[in-house]
Amino acid sequence: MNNGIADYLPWVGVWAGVGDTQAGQQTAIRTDFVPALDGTGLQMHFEAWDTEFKTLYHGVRAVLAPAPSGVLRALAYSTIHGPLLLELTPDDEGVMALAGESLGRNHISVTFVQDAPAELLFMAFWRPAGGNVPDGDDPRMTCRLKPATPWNSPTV
Amino acid sequence: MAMTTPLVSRFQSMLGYWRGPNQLETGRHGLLEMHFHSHFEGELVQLDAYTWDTVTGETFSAGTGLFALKHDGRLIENLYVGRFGFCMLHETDDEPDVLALLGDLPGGRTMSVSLRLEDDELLLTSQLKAGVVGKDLPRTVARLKRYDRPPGEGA
Repeated sequence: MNNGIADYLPWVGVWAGVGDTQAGQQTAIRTDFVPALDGTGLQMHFEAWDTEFKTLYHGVRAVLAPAPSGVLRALAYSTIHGPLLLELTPDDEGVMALAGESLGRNHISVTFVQDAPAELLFMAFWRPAGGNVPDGDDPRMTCRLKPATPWNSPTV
Repeated sequence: MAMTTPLVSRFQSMLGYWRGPNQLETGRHGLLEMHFHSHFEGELVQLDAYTWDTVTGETFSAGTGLFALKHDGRLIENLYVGRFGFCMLHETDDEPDVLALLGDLPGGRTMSVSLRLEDDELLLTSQLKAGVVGKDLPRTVARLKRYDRPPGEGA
């Protein structure tokens, strides 16, 4: 099915979790979704850190928006891959699957899957131009993200 | 405050909010707000731009640009404008005080954008061309200033 911006508005907010990078390191991920372009788009800011939040492994800023044809794409910048234009590939409800190529011809794939009302499964991988298509056992960044709610002071 | 990087140094005088009257290539007038902000320790500069009708408040143009530096030190802008779609603009030669970019749009059109800071005024122009031998279409022109607000009680 073809997903629209409205399908992802329930994700607006901050999500966080601990997962693994494609290189196998443990990583702490924070990502937020906010409405953009007066509600016609969705902005995402993604950061994957070492678990002490001292080293940024990967940062991505992206805006998902409709082309004049109605097709959704995301313009993005990655601290690893540089400028990106990613295509939203048709998928099931509750799935955001983006894919594209960097200027250096690396292939990038990013997927968020809503596994439960308060859980997003994040998966991403990249491979160099001409690299093999990963199967299920190939390394990829994965993380289960939960809503990062503000700290609530304990009731006195 | 962002680190001063080669990219941020190109935008240092533009970071923040700007507003001013705007005339689109369609002839429609409105008020344009542009917001330049940097991310990832100055590795990326994002521009968000909205033009709205000053009578109705209706937004009739919105866009976002992500500026980065290429290996050759020139700028590249990953740009989205609602009425045009997506394109990649590359820095071109121009006067030293002009930031000029050019790129291809879907449908065989090209888009050129220039930014010039003149004292406290930011001048934005953009223009579409239809095809290699196509006729130039009217320009979008905006003169922007940093906008003022009186101090509030909380400051």
